[in-house]
Amino acid sequence: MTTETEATPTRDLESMEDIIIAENVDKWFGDFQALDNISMRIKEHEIVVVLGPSGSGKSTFIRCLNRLEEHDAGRIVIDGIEMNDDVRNLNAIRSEVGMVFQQFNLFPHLSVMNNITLGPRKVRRMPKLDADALAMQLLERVGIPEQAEKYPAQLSGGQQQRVAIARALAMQPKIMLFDEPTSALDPEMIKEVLDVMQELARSGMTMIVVTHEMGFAREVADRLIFFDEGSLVEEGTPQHFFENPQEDRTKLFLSQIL
Amino acid sequence: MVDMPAQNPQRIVLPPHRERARRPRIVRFREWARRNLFNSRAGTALTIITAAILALIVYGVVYFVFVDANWRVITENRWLLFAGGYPMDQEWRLWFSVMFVFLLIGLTYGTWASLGRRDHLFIVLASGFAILLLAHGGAAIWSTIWYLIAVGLLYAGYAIMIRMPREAGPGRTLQQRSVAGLLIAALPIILIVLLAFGGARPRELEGFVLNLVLAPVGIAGGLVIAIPLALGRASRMRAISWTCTTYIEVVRGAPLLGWLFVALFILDDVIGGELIVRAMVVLAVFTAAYMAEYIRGALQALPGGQSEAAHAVGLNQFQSMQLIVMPQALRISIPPMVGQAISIWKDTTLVTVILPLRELKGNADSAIAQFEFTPDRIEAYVFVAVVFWVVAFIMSRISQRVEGSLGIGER
Amino acid sequence: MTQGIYVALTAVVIGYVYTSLDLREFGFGFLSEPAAFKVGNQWLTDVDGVTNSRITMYLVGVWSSLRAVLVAIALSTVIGVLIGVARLSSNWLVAQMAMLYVEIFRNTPLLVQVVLVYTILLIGAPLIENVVNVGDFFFISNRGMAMPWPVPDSGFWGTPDWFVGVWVAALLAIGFVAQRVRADRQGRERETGQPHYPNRWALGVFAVGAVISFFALGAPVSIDEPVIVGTHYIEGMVMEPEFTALVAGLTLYTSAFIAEIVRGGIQALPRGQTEAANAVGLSGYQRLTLVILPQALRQIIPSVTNQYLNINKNSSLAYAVLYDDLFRVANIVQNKAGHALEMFFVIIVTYMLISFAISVVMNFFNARVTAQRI
Repeated sequence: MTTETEATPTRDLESMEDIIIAENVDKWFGDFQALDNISMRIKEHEIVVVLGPSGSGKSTFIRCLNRLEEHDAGRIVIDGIEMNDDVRNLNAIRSEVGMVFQQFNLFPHLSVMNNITLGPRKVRRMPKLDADALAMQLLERVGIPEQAEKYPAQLSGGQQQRVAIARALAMQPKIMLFDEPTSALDPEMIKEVLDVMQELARSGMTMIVVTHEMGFAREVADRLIFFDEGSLVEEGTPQHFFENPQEDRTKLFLSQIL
Repeated sequence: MVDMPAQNPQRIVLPPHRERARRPRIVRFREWARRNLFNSRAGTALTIITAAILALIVYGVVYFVFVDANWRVITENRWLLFAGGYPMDQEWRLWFSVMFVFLLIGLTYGTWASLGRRDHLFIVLASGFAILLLAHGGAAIWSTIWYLIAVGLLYAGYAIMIRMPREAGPGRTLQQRSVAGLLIAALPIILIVLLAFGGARPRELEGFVLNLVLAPVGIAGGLVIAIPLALGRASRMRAISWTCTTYIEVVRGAPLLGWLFVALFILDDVIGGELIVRAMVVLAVFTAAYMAEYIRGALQALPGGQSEAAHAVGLNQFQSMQLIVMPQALRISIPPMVGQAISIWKDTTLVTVILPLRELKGNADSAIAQFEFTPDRIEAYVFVAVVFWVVAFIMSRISQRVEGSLGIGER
Repeated sequence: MTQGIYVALTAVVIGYVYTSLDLREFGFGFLSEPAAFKVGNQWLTDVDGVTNSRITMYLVGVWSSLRAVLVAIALSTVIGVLIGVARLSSNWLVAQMAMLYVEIFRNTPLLVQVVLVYTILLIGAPLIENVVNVGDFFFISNRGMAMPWPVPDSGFWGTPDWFVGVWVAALLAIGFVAQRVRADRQGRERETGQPHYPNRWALGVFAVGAVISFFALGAPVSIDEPVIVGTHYIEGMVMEPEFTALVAGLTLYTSAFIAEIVRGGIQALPRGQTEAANAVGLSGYQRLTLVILPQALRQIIPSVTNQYLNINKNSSLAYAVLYDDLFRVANIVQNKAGHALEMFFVIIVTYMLISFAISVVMNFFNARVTAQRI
């Protein structure tokens, strides 16, 4: 594992454009403030891991980035597109942002192949043959080309999550969001999903990952962000985070989780 | 005793949440409206179109109710619609029954649920509707007073029951048992009050009173037949399960009107008696087939471990049925049973169609058959629809509240 | 032992019922005697009841029932799905309106709905003297709606009426050919990767074939336009207020129940399905038709089948608006000839047969929907 990390080319993130800009984002659920004045910028090709206890708003934040939740105040700009009520902007953003869920959320009535090709064919109007070829290519990339004609219920959890990653990649997004992608998996399946994510990171994808997998955070992330009670408490490099955290809440959290 | 560790190292313990700022109501309302009414251009268009349709409907309804309609067809015929041929000098029996039922509703709510703001509003509105009807003509004052006493009884019963402690214990058991017993005894009591000791003859039950008698008889009778029927269908003895299955499928094969046809032309030879009694038998027999299917569904939904566990603690077949399986199955089947009860309530109108029995809809037909009121047919039927709606609504509302407090459907 | 007692008891009950019925004249012979009554609301049939037997009149009634049931099933499904989806709309006003619809029509008796619609049609629509005339081919009055309708014709070869049947058979054959063409093109598309437009080709083949065969058979179908003579419509297709009231009542009532079934089916799905569909970028309509409904159908179809069976049985309410469906014709026969037991037997068998047909069709759909275990 360590050798792999060292093999990762050091990237010159400083020269990259900001692909995600969030400024003063607020989100309320009724009387409950889920996000409190969140601001951050994420550069193209950057790998960001978001940490925090449950209920801290970390999932809510990344769900705001493709509008599964609407933010109430502040602005979010994805790749130069403002996130607002305009449906065209929303569609443009959703086709740039892929999402992987904790519970996989594969479409159980469709075969693996059709799960992956649904978006390209129906949203991108891609011909079926091209979509099928693309799907096979992606299935090979996530290591399960032989499962193409099966249905989600016939796959293991790890395989399902890899199909879900392939499904998100099929829309050829610039950004991938992972909402606790390994939390619903049995321990022996976590690695196969993390390997796929690691490969994806090396390929230069911009990724935001909510996870409790500290190994992944340490090895792959360019930056770690710690959320608590709806606020962004601390951010920094993995080194900074694991060796020299500043905030008490971060220390408490890390002491409990490590 | 060893001291437990202060905290499980796996669990993440947070410092207490800081106070969340409450935002002003107007901000929240504006946000709500933006999200639920004007969330996109298409959404705004949809809202405007829907609002326009709604405005048209409201205008039409208001115009009809307050300008166009002649409600005298209802107010002039209210005795006909309500009780029809019931002897007028025995009116007190009807009022007694109304008061008894209202008291029961109050007791039931007080025991198993509580009246919310919406319930109070509904009672006020429904009472306003009732008094509007009653406060016309001769004995108007007295009917209004009787009605108000009935509402008073509802609240009195509620007030007494709601003050009883809800915690499980002998007192609570006694309270529940006595209210449930009163509910079961209610139907016979009311039938005795209405018919016995110089009351009306069965065929004099008419109008709304007839609906109010037929539906409970159908529901109660149906339930009594349905339980053995459901068990019979699930029985391992071929002859029993075969006859029960045949019964259920044949009864469900023909419409209720078809069975009322049987009551009119065929049952006469078999059981004889008053037509109204035959209609009651048919309603019960008909309802039973549907209810048996719901109970059977519930029996199948029960985990098999339940009856195994009952046998394991030494209960015999009958005890396990009576103490373990049936109570759970009936509980599961309450929601569809209420649906069936509401369905039977609406179906009591069908006796008018081919039988010479005049319930509310039938007497509405009689009302508009008078020369004076022939132009007011729509008013009469709208009134009938509203009355049926109100009772069906009360039924579904009570069952929802009681289901909620019994925790039915939350498994 | 128990079983023996049970069988004996049942035998006693059946024996009692059997002896109490007067079965001396039991038999179905009376059905083939001349009817001597008229049946209204006929469509595509023309029997006057003078020379026709009672069974013929009854079958005309069955045909009237079937028409009402089929139209009501189609309409209540469409409206029920729309209202059920609207119940879950993110637009608050739309959701509330849908709820109002459901609460109103589910909690009032079907009989009152049917009779109310009928009364409104009779009182509200103009008298036939003041008929609403749309371009001389579409009429609305309190005698119903009249519109043009295709009817069999001798055509310009002077061929007999049954050439319509020949044409329909030809259409089936052409449809089969078009299907083959489509499959062939699809295959070639798959092999070569080039577009071969299978759907457009199939449609074109079918349209051209239909037109050619139509004229080759001498155009055996002509359009029949309605005319008003005196106070009656003649020719064309007439939707009488009785039919409209029955179908409208059945549709309003049943669609409210179907809406609740659809809502329940959709709500039972995990929320993640909607979110995943959104994340993939599907539009609201695509999300509904490609992801949500296909899964919800598993739960919806069995319950909706029950509603269809209810429509079948509830169609007997035609009696209340004097629409001559099977139940009403059976009642007329019973009034004329007695034999209540036999008539009831005929009625229940008919309803069961129709229910059986509905179940068979719906089971076919259900099998298709549940073919894949999920």
